[in-house]
Amino acid sequence: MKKIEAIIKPFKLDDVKEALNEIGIQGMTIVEVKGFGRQKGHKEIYRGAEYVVDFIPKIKIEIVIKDEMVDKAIKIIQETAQTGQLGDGKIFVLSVEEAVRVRTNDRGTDAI
Amino acid sequence: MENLNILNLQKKRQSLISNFIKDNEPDFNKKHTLVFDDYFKKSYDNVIKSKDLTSKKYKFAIVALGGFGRNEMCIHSDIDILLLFEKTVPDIAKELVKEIIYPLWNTGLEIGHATRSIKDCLNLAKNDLKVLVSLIDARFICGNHELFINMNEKFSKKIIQSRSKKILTLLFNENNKRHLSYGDSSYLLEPDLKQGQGGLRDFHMIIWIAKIMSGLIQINDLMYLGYIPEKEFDVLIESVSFIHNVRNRLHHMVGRKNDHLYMEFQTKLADLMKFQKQNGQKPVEIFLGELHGRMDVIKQQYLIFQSEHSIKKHTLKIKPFNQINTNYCGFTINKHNMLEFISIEDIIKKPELLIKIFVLSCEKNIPLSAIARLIIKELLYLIDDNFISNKSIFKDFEYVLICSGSNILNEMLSTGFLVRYIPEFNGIVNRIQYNRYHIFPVDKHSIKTVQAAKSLGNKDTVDQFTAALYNDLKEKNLLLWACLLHDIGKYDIKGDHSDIGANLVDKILKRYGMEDEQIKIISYLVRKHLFLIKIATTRDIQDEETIVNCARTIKDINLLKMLYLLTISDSMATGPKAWNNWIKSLLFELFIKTINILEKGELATTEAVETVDQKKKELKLILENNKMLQKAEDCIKFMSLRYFLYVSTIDMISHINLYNKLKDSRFVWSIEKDEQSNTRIITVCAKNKPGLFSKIAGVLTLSNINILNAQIYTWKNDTAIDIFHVTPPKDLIYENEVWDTAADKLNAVLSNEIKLSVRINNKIEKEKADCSDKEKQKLQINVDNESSSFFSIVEVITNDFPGLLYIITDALFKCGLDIYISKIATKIDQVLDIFYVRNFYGEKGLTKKQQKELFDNIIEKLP
Repeated sequence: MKKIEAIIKPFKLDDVKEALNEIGIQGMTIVEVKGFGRQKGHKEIYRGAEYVVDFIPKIKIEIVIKDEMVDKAIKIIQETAQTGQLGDGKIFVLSVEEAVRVRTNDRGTDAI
Repeated sequence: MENLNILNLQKKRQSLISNFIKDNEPDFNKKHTLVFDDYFKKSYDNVIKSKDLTSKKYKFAIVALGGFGRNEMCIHSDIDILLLFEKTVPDIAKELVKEIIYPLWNTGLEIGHATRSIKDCLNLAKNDLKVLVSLIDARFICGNHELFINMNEKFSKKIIQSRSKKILTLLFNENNKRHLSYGDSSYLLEPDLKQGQGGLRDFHMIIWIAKIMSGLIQINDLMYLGYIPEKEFDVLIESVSFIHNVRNRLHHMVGRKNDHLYMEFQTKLADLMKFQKQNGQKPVEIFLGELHGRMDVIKQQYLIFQSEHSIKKHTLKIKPFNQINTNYCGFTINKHNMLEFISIEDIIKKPELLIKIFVLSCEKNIPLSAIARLIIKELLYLIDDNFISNKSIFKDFEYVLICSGSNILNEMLSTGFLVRYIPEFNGIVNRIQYNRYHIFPVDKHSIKTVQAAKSLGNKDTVDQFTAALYNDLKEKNLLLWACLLHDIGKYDIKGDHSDIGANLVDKILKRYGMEDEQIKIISYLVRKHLFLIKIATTRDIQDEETIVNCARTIKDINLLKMLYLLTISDSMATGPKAWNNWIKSLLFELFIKTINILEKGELATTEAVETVDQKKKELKLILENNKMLQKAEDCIKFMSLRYFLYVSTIDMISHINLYNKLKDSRFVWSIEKDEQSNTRIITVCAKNKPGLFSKIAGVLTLSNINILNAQIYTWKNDTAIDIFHVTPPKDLIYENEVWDTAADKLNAVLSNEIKLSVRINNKIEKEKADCSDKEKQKLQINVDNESSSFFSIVEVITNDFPGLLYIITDALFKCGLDIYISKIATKIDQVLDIFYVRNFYGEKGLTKKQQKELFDNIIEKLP
């Protein structure tokens, strides 16, 4: 089992959600986060006054899926969330040791 | 025998409870209390006999405290008992507790018991507010009555009356603390029936206050002693009764004491209490609406009590009104420093007094008394068509809307004034939206939005920038009207409430004689009140097209500012999920970028909007006629706004034709003669790549073609359309061959087969040498990092020179800059080249270092 954490631009959320649904991934956790990599804070200028926007809103999507699905999931997220501009985000893959369904106490891949 | 007693108790309880569930027990709490009273009475008799305690030495009384004392035993309420003794607590007390109290543990209820002497009670009450309050509710059940009277008298004299002010202050402080902890927005979604604002505790507070101040015996004394007028008292009692009903059902459903109406219980409760679907609202929404309405009654009543009876540290010295100003005649201030009407006949003669009291309340910051509020309720019928169309009254209303502090609008609502004055408001009163996003019912939310907007003027609410925006508004009333009415369209769940609301606003405001111009603005704000949030969260605000479209939709800067402020206020008043730092950033970025576009004009002026729309129509028409409609839709989708603005429709057609030929090749071009000036127009269509422009320029230079003018556009699908006005080749006879050769060269350069730089540098060196006798080239480079939110604008001004364009564009490329838009113009020998650039990451902003690098790169190549 692997956990995929994808950080993407906010307006891409619906597209990525739909794309994941289409390949059979229904459950996910969504978090509103802030962050930046090379995009850094940027300045907006209005009437000569600078306003630093160092707080760049992003969306983090977390999904836990079977190993076989990982490559597909990464591909679909990357293609859907991409705009070609700076700040498109990143995708990370982590190993998951155990998963439990609270309602039934199912374990492992049965729980995801 | 005891067992029998308990069994009896259980039986009676069960029968009562099942009757209640079947809706057959309107007086549940009282009867339930009596069941326990019976138990204790029997228990007392039993224990007196069995322990032979008839001697006076052991006189004691069984006293009910707390809720039990108030006759308010809900299904799983605690039982609070006091075993009262005279002077000391004897050893036998332990036995008594065993006999009387222990058996109750089998019922599964929480029993609290105390064994105290009269003195113990007094001492504890002196130091512990909880004990004091429980004794205020003390009720004699059975045993030695004299003893109880004795205790009560002493308690009254020594504890209550001698320190009433102090106790009241303590009580109010505790209550305020409780209101703070239970006033959190989560409690609005999941009310706490006891501790929450407007919960049973608020009602208990009212009783305690009245008991402390007048020693009131029973609840009706609240009315008889003049604390609450009769009609309001009836409403209050009905509300309390409703909440008890809900509480009992909740206890029963959960199987234990729980006063917190969690979301998971709400729907089921609504069904159990037989609420029906109505007006498109779910039963649970109707249920919660009624619950909130009832809790609000209790809350308002409590607030009045608090302002009337809490001890003020200093009393305001207010002159009698008649002496201040004739404007205020008709009103006076009562001894609790609250506003009152002087005479009802006056109001009937001059109905405008009904609004004037609110105006006065705002102005002087004095709340309305309970009587005044009642009078307003009674006289609402005076608000007829004349009242509504009266312009001076309307002005007064606007004054209240703009200047009022926190509670005046709510008072207008709760007295019924607001709904009477704006009948459409009735559709959203207590209208609940059942989800975790909307915390408040729509009417409260609308009023909260008004208050939120006013708070924006304070820099601590959001920030300095927003505060300045609000404070600089010339017509704040328009914004506040929009705040008040923005959700008025939610009276029905069908349809888009923004549009419905906007249409309704039109109808509503005409009624008061408001100017059409103003109505238009308010209506627009209501229609678009969700627009900015939608764009900020669902569109790419880094894309200039998104921002320009936003600007073109709103068109007017003042409207944009008001819309921005309305959006923030609406979000703040919705709940914490709707307004937080995350949303704030997105919204701010959208706003700043949009206002920059609007202020710089050009792309978003009315003219620009019309031009683009016109061209789109024309284009569609022509393509349709040529049976290319499908292509039309596709192309229009990815042609950029600037392209639409500056390119003629005819040219667009030829560009589309060119684009169709592109397919997989690196580029295609068309070359036309311009008859008038004997120049050539080269239109290049290629896949956009950094350095494309400079490569084309370079190839043209190598072919000895002089570039006079150029415009480059980038379509959204990364297609570059580069248009060059050039001099014809020197060899006019074999012109076509020249172009073919050039095309081959360009292909080779684009596929990296030839290194352009080497060849062209040789050529440039040669040209430089030829010019050595002329003056050193003057070069001026202006970099503007501010005017556009999306690009850095680089201006190059210098004298024309063969290969100049290549030199400049190559230098830009070497500095890591990508050209998106460009305008090249040559006037005789002066050249003005403008480039809109971003770095290869898509960021704008040239550093000083980059600027110097650019300058050096270019000047080095020039003579």
